[in-house]
Amino acid sequence: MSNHPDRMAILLYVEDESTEGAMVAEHLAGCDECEAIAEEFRRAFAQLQHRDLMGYYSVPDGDRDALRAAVLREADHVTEESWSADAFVADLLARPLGTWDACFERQPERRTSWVARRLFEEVELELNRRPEYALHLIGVAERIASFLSDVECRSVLGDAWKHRSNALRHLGRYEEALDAAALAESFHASLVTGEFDLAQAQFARAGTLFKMTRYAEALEVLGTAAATLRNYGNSVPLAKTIMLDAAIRIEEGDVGMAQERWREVLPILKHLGDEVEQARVLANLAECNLRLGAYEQAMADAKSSVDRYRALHMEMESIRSEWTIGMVHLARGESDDGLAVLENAAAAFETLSMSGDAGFVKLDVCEELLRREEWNEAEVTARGLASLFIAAHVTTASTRALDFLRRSVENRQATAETVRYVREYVTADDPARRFEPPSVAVN
Amino acid sequence: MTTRDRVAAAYDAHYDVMRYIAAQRFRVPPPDIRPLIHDVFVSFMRHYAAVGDERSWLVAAVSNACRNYWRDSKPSEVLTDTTDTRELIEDASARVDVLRLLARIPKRCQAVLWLRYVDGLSPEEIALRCASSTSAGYGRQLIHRCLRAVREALAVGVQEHS
Repeated sequence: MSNHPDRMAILLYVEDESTEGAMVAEHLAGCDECEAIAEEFRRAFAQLQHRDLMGYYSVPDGDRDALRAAVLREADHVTEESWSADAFVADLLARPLGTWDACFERQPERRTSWVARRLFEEVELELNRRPEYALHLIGVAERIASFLSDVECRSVLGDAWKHRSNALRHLGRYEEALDAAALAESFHASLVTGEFDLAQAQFARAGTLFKMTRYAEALEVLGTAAATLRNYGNSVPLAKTIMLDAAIRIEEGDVGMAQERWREVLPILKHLGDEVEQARVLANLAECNLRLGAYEQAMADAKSSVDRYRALHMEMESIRSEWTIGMVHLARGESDDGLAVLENAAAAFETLSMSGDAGFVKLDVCEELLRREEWNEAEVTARGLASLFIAAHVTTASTRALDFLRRSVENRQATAETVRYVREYVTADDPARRFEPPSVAVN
Repeated sequence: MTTRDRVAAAYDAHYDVMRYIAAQRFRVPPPDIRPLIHDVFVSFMRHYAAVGDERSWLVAAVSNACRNYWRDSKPSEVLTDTTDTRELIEDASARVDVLRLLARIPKRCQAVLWLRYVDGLSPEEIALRCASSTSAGYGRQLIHRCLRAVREALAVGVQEHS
């Protein structure tokens, strides 16, 4: 076939009704343009042959406009209720907790799911600072739930038990926290639209298992939660789930898997526009890469993290990433650069009165100076360590360990290994542990 | 963007896919689809500060809501549809795109394509049904013309999309 077949000939060929099938096939094999036309027909047929599609298409949809109107009415209602709840809860928070029940008695119309959820926002703010108070707030929200419709009640109770689980975890009441999370899961699982919340309750349970160092169980629960959340696309709970997974991997010593998780979550955080968490993840990636020996990437991530923290005016975090930069320099054998960066980081921590952190940076400095056998410099650093850690109120065992280090340096007996030995005591800072000098081999 | 604006935009963009999934993939009876989608949007409004991908969120939410609907309606029956939501989004979105495409072509063409590709009529039968003609060639012309209409509608859609 010298000329191109017309569209009808191609159509007949695709429909297997062509009397010139062999010739058309031969032409298509050598002609991209005509093959594209044939492919277009094939695609159209494939789509049109979906019987369920055509069946669906033939049924008129009378719901679209009415449902749209109903959904938008709901949106307006949500806006009004949110504003109203904000004002009411602000008023409540200004009063003693003991008077709140009377407020609700006087204004029973305030017992709404929106007021309960506004209280949960307050709970999230109080969790770290005042977990006992957070538990009281959760109790108030729970009492509101009993006045709501069945679905709203179960939804609010699910959230109440999830937040209770978090508060109990902060208080170290881990077994109760696990029970509370299980109850939260039950409430959310009973709802038609409860899957997203169910996964978040599972996340709360995983958080407690993590604190209990039951890492394998925590990872299993997180896996279940993540599987659900991934279906919902990028979301804050998905990012949190992946980040907790990464943190557990670090605790387990699985730096490679942790690195994989941090890398996975970074684009999600970018999509969500969460600048703070992006900076944190970059800082964590820098640490992982440092530990894995990927120094170039570690340096790039740490620098990027510093830039982001600075832009966010998060000075303390910025100094921590500077510290990582210093450690990357040392790992690359750039000793002078590393020491300069570490000295600056220690000074910056001291400016913020963070003497403990300054002390740990100085321990790294001391280790490097000993490696270089710069005894006089190391001596000055070792002497300064004691005062820094005493200002940070460390235990007696830690103080003794630091004193041991100072004497070892003064006697020219200390090595980098001595610093690591002492650092382990100060990091644990366990009041129940006595300081025991290392064996002679260390010195 | 206000809550209302965001919800309205999400509804207009994703309602068709959500309804398609409820009706066709999960066979939820028509009277129950409306409250189900309504509840999904109520849940969406509660969570939307944490949502980064509205389409995925709404499709996953409506799929899970459908599964739970059947769990609550017929607890003894095991629902076999465990399609991955991402696949579901692609499949449902493609089909809804075709629906929108079909809505752009003349009714007569819709009928011709239905007869050919759903009812499986031959070109001769289509010619007879649509034009009282016994010519298979004429039937093929009709089919070809209607496919061209689909192609042109698709081209318009692609231009609008781009």
